[in-house]
Amino acid sequence: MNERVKIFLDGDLLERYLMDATSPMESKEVEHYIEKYPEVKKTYIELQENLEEYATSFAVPAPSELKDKILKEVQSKPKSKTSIPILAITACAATILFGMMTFMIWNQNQELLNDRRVTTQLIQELNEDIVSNRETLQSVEEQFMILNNSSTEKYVLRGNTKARKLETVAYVNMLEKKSYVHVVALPELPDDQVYQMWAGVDGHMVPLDILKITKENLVEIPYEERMASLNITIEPKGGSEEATVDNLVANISF
Amino acid sequence: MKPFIEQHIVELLKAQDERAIGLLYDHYADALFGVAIKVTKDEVLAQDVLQESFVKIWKNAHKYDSSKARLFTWLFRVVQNTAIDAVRSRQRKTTKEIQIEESNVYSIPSTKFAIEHLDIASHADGLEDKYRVVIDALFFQGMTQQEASDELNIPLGTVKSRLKIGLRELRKLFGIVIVFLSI
Repeated sequence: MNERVKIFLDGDLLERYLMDATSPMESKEVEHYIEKYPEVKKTYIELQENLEEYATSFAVPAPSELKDKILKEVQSKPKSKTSIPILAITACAATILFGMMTFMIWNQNQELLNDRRVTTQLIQELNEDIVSNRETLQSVEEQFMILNNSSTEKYVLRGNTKARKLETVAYVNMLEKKSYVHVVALPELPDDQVYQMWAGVDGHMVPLDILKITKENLVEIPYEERMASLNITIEPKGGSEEATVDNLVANISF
Repeated sequence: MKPFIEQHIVELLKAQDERAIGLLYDHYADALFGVAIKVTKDEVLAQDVLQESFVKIWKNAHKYDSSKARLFTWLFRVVQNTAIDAVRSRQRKTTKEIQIEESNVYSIPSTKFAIEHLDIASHADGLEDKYRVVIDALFFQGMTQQEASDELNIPLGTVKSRLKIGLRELRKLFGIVIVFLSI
């Protein structure tokens, strides 16, 4: 007999396997020996016969009414064969449902994230609008205050023969030291020329601003102390440092 | 058990044909009832064990692998495990109950051995006690070899050797009976 088989049979693994008292690993080992070695298989068959004969020697007539009870109970039990597919189908359905729900939740989450991004952008734009409107309102309020101030003087500058249609209104507040102009009409000029406003200060012409038609009615211009007059000249594009007196088109003295 | 019957019962069991249960009962119930009584030492409890075991056998028929064990071996394991569980469950229940007076409800020993098995039983009686107690502890009380060693107060190595020799002796005893009956 093979030495390995002898060692195996001298041990108690086969007896414990017979009694279902082996671990899964041990069971695998025993099954391997039974399959591979005829001596082990023969011994295992003998052990099973012994068990059956020994157990049979203690047989006691089983109550006949018990058979009917068992048959009745078995008939009322669902067959295990059918229960396995039902379980499998239930498990599959649950898995598919879970997958679908996961996808739906993910999809909804993506939509919500997108909505949130758009909403955040809208809020940001609205905030910017609010800030811009506040600034505009503040500016209008300031202009309104200046115009309604009793110490604000209004001066209308009309064009001479060089620019008959020119009309500009200037508002000067000596106390607040603020000046505004409202360009009502400006005759067209060649592209290389502009209308420039000047303040007459101590006999000199101080440049104030280039005039142009804007959406806003009032445009603030620099205020000059001891300002005695306002003048408009035609100057080369970009304006001049020194006024071209020959090109004076409108003026008003305070 | 004739191999043909065994094979036929297994086929019916696998096909979930209820006739399998009737045949199983007719051919194996007495031996299995004896096993249940040996483990529980209570005929009433043994009936419950037998009923529960047959239901388990029916429900788990697809798990039986004829290449790994004979049908009786598998049936024996089901009944043995069910009986051991029943005894343990009863012990847990009993310890919780306040015993006013000693009851003999759980200790009705069985004396009704099947007549057709009397000869075999008497031969099994021929087994020396030192082997019988070891085999009984392992086969009917559900003890591990270590537990049997502790319970019987004999070394583990002795338990192993007595199990092997006891089973060999049984083979001889049954061999004699089979030869005797065939004459």
